[in-house]
Formats: sequence, C-alpha cells, structure tokens
Amino acid sequence: MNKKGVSDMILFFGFLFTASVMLVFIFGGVKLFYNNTYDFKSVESADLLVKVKECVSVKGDEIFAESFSINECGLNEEVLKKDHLIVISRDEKQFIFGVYDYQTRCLFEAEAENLPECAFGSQNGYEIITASSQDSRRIIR
Amino acid sequence: MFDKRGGWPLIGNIIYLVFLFTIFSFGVIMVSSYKNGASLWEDFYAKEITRIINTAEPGTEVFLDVSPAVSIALKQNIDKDRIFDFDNVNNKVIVGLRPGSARSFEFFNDVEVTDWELELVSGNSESSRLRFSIKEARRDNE
Repeated sequence: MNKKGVSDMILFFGFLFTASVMLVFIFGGVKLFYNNTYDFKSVESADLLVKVKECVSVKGDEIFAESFSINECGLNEEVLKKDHLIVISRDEKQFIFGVYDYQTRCLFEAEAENLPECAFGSQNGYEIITASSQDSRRIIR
Repeated sequence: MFDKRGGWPLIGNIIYLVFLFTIFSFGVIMVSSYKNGASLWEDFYAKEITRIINTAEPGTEVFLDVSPAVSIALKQNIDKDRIFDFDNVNNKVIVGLRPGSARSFEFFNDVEVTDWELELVSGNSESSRLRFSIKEARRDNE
C-alpha cells in the first residue's frame, strides 16, 4: 500500500467515526423523546393525602403512639418508606414516615426531576404533608 | 486487492458501502422500534392502573379499556397473558408491551390484586379490556 492508499484508509475511518457520532445523536434524540415518562408524582401525593386524611379522621391521636404503624391506615409500609413521605402534626406532636429529606425539598418552589411533589392538607386540626418522588422503573424480562 | 497506484479499488468501495448500509439500517431499525410509543404506553398504563388500585377499596372489581396498549403489544408478538402482571409480594404493577422489557410501578394501598385477565372483547386487539379484583392483603401472621 502506498501513501495514497493510506490516506484513503484514514478518510474511511474518519467517515466511519462521523457516521457513528451522527447515529448516536439521532438515536439518543429519538430515545429521549419517546422514552420520556409523564410526571405522576403530584397525582400520587394527592391520592396519598386523601388516604392519610381518612386514616387521621378514624385514628386521631393514636397516630402519635410509639407502637403505631402506617399499616394500620391500610397503607403498605415497604412501598412508602421509599420515594414517599407522610408528615402528620398537631400541636407539638408529629408523626413522620418515609424519606425525611423530602420535608426540606417540599419547600422548594422549583420543579425538577429529582424533586418530590408535595401535597398539603388538614383534617380535624391535624396538618398533613404527603410527598412522592416515585417514577416507573424499567425491568428486563 | 491493491494496484500499484495504491488506494482501495472495487473491494474497498464495496466494504465502504456495506458499512454505510449496515450503520444506517441499524439506525432506521432503532428509530422504528420507538415510534409506536410502546415505552410511553407502558409508563402510562402502569401509573394509571396503580392509581386505580391506590384509590380502590377491597371488594372492588375493575374493568379497564386497554386497547391502545394491547394493540401495540400484539403487533410485537407479545403473549396476551404477559402484557399485564401484578406482583402482590412487592406491590407492583408491571406492563410490558415490548419483547424483553417492561415498566413497573408500586402501589401503596395495602391490598392484593387477584383474578386479573385480559379480555379481547371483539376477538382482536381493537377492543380489549383488563379485568381484575381488589382484595384485602393477606398477612403472613394471620
């Protein structure tokens, strides 16, 4: 192979590189567009607020007992301890379950993918905050 | 393969064209696999079914129109009994409209989903509905 052959070969690999980069951008753009999930966090935190209100209206101050479990409200502890928060407070007493950090994040007015959506409400003098940051997960099967 | 003047004569051009064709075919196939919106519908139905479960009381029977999702799944040869699945151990709703992949979402209501079935009402995917029942969760210590 003489020098002319070598330069042709280099050009070929240059083209291959350019084509690969273009493909990555095209594929990445399409994947970003179609793979986008829709934000369900605010809906979920609102539904959770309704459930917690129902529980508070039945259980009242029992919620602040040390032995109280969120299962007694008909809610699943294992699911709620990840990506969710429940705060119930009245006077000086408070019940908190879930991701404690969300209390602070609920105060941010900004919207971002990693910020939870919070719902605020009250029932019979109890102040309630619920938050959700759950998104769907892709599984391989 | 190479003549005295160097360069890549016919064989080189053929290799070049084969590479070009392979790369862009790959790209077209990838893009096509996304345009039916399967991922979006998986996400949508996982969340909407979860919402129904979260707001339902034990004893409720649910009938849900899932025609768009089933239409996509059947075109991709997904078995109709594998499109919707419920994991009561981990409280998950699983929706899979593509081969080898699915989306899951967890429900916080302490209930179990039972007797689920996908009914092709008109015999094909044009009109299909998902039927399932909500029951109280069984506890291991009961």
